[in-house]
Amino acid sequence: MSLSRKTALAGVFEHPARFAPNKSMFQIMAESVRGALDDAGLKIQDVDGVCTTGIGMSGMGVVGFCDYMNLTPNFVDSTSIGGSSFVAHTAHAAAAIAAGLCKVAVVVYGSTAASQRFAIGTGGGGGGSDPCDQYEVPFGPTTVGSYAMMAQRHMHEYGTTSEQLAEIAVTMRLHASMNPAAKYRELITVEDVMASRIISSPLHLLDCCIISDGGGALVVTSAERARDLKKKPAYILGCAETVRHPARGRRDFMEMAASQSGPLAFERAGVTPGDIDMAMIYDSFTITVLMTLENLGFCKRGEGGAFVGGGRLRYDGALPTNTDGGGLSSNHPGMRGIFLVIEAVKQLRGECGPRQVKDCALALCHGTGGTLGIRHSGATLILSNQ
Amino acid sequence: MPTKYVEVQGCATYYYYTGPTTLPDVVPDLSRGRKVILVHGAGSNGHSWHNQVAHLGRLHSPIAIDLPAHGRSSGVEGRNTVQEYSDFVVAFLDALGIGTAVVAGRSMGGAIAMDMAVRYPERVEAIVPVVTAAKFNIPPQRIEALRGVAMGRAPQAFVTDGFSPATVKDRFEIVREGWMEQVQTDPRVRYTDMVACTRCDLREDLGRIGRPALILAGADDPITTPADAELVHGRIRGSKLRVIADAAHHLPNEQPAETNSAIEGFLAEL
Repeated sequence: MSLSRKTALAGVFEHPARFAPNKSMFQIMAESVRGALDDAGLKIQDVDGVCTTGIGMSGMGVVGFCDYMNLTPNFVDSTSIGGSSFVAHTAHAAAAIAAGLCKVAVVVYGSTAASQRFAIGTGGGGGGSDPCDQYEVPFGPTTVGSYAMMAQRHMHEYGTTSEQLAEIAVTMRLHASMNPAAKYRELITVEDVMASRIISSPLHLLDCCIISDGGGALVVTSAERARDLKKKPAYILGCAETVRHPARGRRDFMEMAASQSGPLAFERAGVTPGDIDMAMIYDSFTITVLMTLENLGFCKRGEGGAFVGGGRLRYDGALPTNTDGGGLSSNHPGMRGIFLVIEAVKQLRGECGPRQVKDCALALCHGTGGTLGIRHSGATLILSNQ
Repeated sequence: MPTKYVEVQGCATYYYYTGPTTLPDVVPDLSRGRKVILVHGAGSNGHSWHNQVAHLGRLHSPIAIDLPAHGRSSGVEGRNTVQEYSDFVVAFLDALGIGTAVVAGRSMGGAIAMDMAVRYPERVEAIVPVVTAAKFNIPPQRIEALRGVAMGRAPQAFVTDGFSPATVKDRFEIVREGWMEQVQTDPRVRYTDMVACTRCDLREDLGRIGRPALILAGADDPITTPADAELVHGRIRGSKLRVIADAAHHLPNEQPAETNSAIEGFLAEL
């Protein structure tokens, strides 16, 4: 059974807050749900599916959020696989709707990571408290440290340079400069990235995503219903998700989940990387974007450094990527998966103003959750406005 | 010290007050003595006035605010000029239904208080400029260093030059507190505040101030020196000047008792 074009995203909303110490996580989430429902032209009474998780809530946070919203949905999902969770939630909601488990599902995320001073990349350990974490946590890895190790390895194996990574940050900032809600909008150069201080060698400060408050929500419903709603639907063509772990040292740790979820999603959508008009790639760090593009098959392994150069990722380039400014410049409230889908939908609708990608009909979102080099998840989603 | 929010110019503005707490959107009781608005310095926040709020709250109704994007107030960008900050504080007074108030300000906040007395005399009962200047003399390399921090080129340097040698030697916890207070605000905001300060020149305007003024300076302050305070004192008619020993740019925390009694005495004479 194929899911292709059976369901669609009917409403999206990105919360404009970047620093909101006056709001709670649930408040940001509730405001986002209202925004997305308004966008779709639906009411809260229409919602019978809720998908959420977050860094600020417990494993049962979805139940608490339903209480906050006074919802008793027929479908809930709180799959928690890191920042990619919301891309996976979108796929799960689509499958649930196609299978008749619910009719209108909201996928929502909110966080006050900045105003609560969460130490996401450096302060916390790059590992949790699960039994498998005993192999890394005692040695004190940090999230940024593990991603930096990937960058180091990529440089060693393929001769990738810091300047090539910097190009990604510069492009994201260019996009952010055209997004009035972005947290950092002042243009930067490759030299600025190179001059910013080293956080974990070889990653500079400007190679790392920012920390902000914020949130967002998506409304998923059947393609049929979406066609009758306010906005042009963004149809879900294909999706896939998986995880990668080092398999106790037996797997090349540069192999990402994207290398499995990407081809599977392309196959399910019936398209190839060459068909994609714009991509939203989780940019926790510049190296994440480069390696994800390789693993998804946009270029060969090792060619990422050259691939991201020459303005290819610019909104007017060959593969416009992270046109909202990404986690590197616009917002990163702890997890970013939801914003990948929001911006892709806006691009497919042609709502992006100066940063609008021309003739954008096919978009790809890929979320990465967890920590590259240790354990991570990947979720790919392919959307179309046709 | 209770706190709450009020919406001002689209910014959820955080403020500290005294007395009984009230429900959201209900203005706290401000009927004791004088209403005193305490405005913090560049890159700082309202908590830097905690000694004054606690003490003045016994007889008066002090309120210390977090300017936009500072401390716990919302937003990621401050304002570009001292004048825009003054407009903001006036909008804050409107939001709380305060007609006139005594405005005390430290450093950049002091410039805001003086500018309010110049441009909004009907809203200002008296002013207390604390460790401030009519024209800030901030070395360009200091601005450049802050720009480097804002651009991510350098970590924020831990410096003690805003404190009196006596504070550094005997009461290092005050230095530590000052550091912890300013890291609550994005360094980009601190940078734009400093730029706003360098753009501000009130020397020609001070003669128009017709409100009582108490000017407080720290004897050891290298940033806004006692000479800067003298100039302000000379230009605001009828103003009083107190230069407090063993204090520098963090006077309200370095010498809280002296600061409090000076302000309290001034308020009693109004």
